Amino acid sequence: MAKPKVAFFDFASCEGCQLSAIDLAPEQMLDLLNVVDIVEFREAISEKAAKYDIALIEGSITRDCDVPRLQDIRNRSKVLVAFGACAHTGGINALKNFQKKEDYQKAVYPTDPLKYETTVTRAISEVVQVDAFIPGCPINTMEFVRIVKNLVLGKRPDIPDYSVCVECKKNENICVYEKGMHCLGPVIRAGCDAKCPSNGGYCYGCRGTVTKPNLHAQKDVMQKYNLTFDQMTDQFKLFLQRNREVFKNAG
Amino acid sequence: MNGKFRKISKKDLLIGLDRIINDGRKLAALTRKGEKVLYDYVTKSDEILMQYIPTVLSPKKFFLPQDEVILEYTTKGKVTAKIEAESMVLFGIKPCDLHGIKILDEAFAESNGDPNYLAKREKSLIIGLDCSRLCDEKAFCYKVNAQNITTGCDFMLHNTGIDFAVTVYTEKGAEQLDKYFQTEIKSENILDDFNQAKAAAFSKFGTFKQLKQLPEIFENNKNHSVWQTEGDKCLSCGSCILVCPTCYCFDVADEMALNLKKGERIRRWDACMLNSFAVVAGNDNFREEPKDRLKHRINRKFNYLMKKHGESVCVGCGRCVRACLVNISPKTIAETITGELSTGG
Amino acid sequence: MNSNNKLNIKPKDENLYLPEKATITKIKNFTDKELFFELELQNNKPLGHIPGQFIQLSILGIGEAPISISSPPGADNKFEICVRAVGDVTNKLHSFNVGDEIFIRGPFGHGFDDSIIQKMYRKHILFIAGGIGYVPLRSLINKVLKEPELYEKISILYGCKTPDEIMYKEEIAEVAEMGKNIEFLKTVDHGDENWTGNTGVITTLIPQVKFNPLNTIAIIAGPPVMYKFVLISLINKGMPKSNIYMSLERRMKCGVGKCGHCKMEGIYVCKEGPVFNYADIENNEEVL
Repeated sequence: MAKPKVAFFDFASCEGCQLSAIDLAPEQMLDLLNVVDIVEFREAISEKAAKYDIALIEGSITRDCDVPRLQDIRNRSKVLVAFGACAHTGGINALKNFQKKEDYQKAVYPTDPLKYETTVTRAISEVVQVDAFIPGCPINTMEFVRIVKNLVLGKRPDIPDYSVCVECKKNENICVYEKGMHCLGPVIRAGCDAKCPSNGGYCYGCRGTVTKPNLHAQKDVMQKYNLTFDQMTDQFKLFLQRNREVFKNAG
Repeated sequence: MNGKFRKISKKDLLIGLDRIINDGRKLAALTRKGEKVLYDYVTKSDEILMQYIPTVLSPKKFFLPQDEVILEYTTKGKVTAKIEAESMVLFGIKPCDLHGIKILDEAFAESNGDPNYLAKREKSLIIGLDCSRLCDEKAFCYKVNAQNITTGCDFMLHNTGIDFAVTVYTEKGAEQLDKYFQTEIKSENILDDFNQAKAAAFSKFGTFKQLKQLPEIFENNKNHSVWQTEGDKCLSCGSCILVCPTCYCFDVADEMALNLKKGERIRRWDACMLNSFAVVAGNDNFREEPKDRLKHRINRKFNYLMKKHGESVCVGCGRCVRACLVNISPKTIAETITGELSTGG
Repeated sequence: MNSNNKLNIKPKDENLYLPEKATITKIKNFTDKELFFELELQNNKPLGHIPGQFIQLSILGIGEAPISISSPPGADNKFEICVRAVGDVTNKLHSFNVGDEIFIRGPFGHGFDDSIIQKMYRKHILFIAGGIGYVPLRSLINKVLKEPELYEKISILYGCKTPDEIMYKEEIAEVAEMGKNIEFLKTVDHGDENWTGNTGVITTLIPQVKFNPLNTIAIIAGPPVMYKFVLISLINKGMPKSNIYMSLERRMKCGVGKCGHCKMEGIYVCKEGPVFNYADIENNEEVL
């Protein structure tokens, strides 16, 4: 069996997910390279191939000129994977969607606000068909490895569709709410091993929601723990722009 | 036990526990790790907490690990069963959790005995530690009579304040007690005082009024409005199942090593409160709504499995109540359905 | 010592999660989606199944899936399955060739045991199979067809979405020609230009069969939605619920009544089923 050709591409992102992908022990890296051919990877190598078996797209779409490039990659790829929160949900970049265009242009380039083209931030799936996604900001390295294995073996990508609470309970954490903080864990997709709540933080939802989140109940919980609706949307809009409207409706 | 009562001093208890550790056996007990209180392996008896503080997970994790390799294989087609079981002592297990272990023992020993669970269970010694009062306001063991045990551990300690009275339940318990612990035989019933104090502490709490009839009552209340109202609140986060000492459903998955030359079959805790649990090929979901899943979970405790095990499969430990952010409680649901709640019972 | 402590927690010698190796000895293309496989156990023992039972089929590294056994019980170490590619395991299996090895556990479940077979003798047997539901019934159908004289009459009703989806075409044609007390009726939801047979859902075939509901045993398998309509139709004809058997589908993970995935209220389908008498489960809300 010929080794699948894997390529990484980035759009608006910090490229941290690509760095996370290669955050492997040397022997794991060698194993990975025995299983796949990495043909494009700006962080480590430079080579071009015409067709890709697996294209991993990091970053969100924030300019119209990104669209044809993404479509071209789509046309050349058998499997296209939204890689990391920016590609999966729009990520942090989508925060600008809450502001007026003139305002953020001015904030970034005060002396020459019109210098660069910019549009509303979109997730990859809003522009092209996505076959799989690897969520998180940044992605979980071992999850990346697992998904690559799944794709090479012809299995469906095995991304958990249950809440962060499951992992928090497995880690026997004291519930974040009991510690006086607020947390999106009950409606957010696990797979991160509840990293933030397990290390003194709370879940702000970088992996997006589970398939059928009960956002009404989540909202009730946060209100019960004395968070106003505005605080709630403000605190959690970082990764849940799309669900903001749902929260609003739930209010 | 032939009119003889055994007791053990606190000092001798700790000495015995250290002997177990020095013997190279794993000892798990209630202990503190950072901010968490949990059952975990300890390296010295002074790490053990004698005063119970409710834990997130029950001791079931020692027999049914969160992730457990059950098969190992190579791509060349060599498959071997994997069973990891080492000699282990569980110390300080409370009556509710002992009820839980008894339920799991029955479930996993039934007809096609589960090799992995049974191997771990066979190699373990369980030392119970009786409760003299209710551990907190979320616990409701008294509702199902789970504050007292008749089985589930090898021997049980009852803290009399000065020392510990011992009740032996199994031959293994008797033998291991003698092997590791210095005990004293008394002719007077040293348990009486403890039992009286315990009875007094629990006297204001009673069981569900129709405890024995719960299966029938639940069977006749599949359309009760409580399923909808409580189900609408449910986050479907799965916490209640994860923390339950008698939930044992699991998922099975194959995981290849990154070199794709060998792999493992792993079973993992699963939870019927999660949306995807009852999905079949073609994506039909047999329990699509939270209310369906909640009804299933609670009926398993007070109806389906209660019929099978002959006692409530909810042991009233209160873990799910503590873990639930939206206040769904098996106790409240049962009281609503039996009508106890509205009649002020 | 308390007598309750007598529970045997000694592990048994046999590991119920350890699969046996089998070789693919034949593959036939049935439809676009279904392939037929003949498998041979490498331990040289017969599978030892009864009709209606299933196996857990493993492909190492991919996983395990419950699969109905479609051949009647046999004396040799071969058996047959028919598999639709719907998940990881079944998709992978479709890429396999004759000579490739797979692993199996089982047979599992409560099938059409002797007590059911005895009840069927001298009765009119009405098989109702929808789509891939033909596969779990085929084992019993072929067993019954070996000695048709033991039954008053045998009617087989088989419905598919389109003519392309009809499986075992040659075999079915032979059965339809057998005559005697055997009838075979087919229907498709949507015909094509070559289709001259019945068109319509499977319940449209039921009025075409003459049967005395009190002396008929109905045996049903198909997609979840089918059962509801077939059951209404049979009961409206006056068939007692205890004369109706159904083979149900769930996603069994362990096959031995532990993992919980196939639970239907208090019932583990993998152990107490997949074959049920309708009278035993009519009040179970999670059946359909």
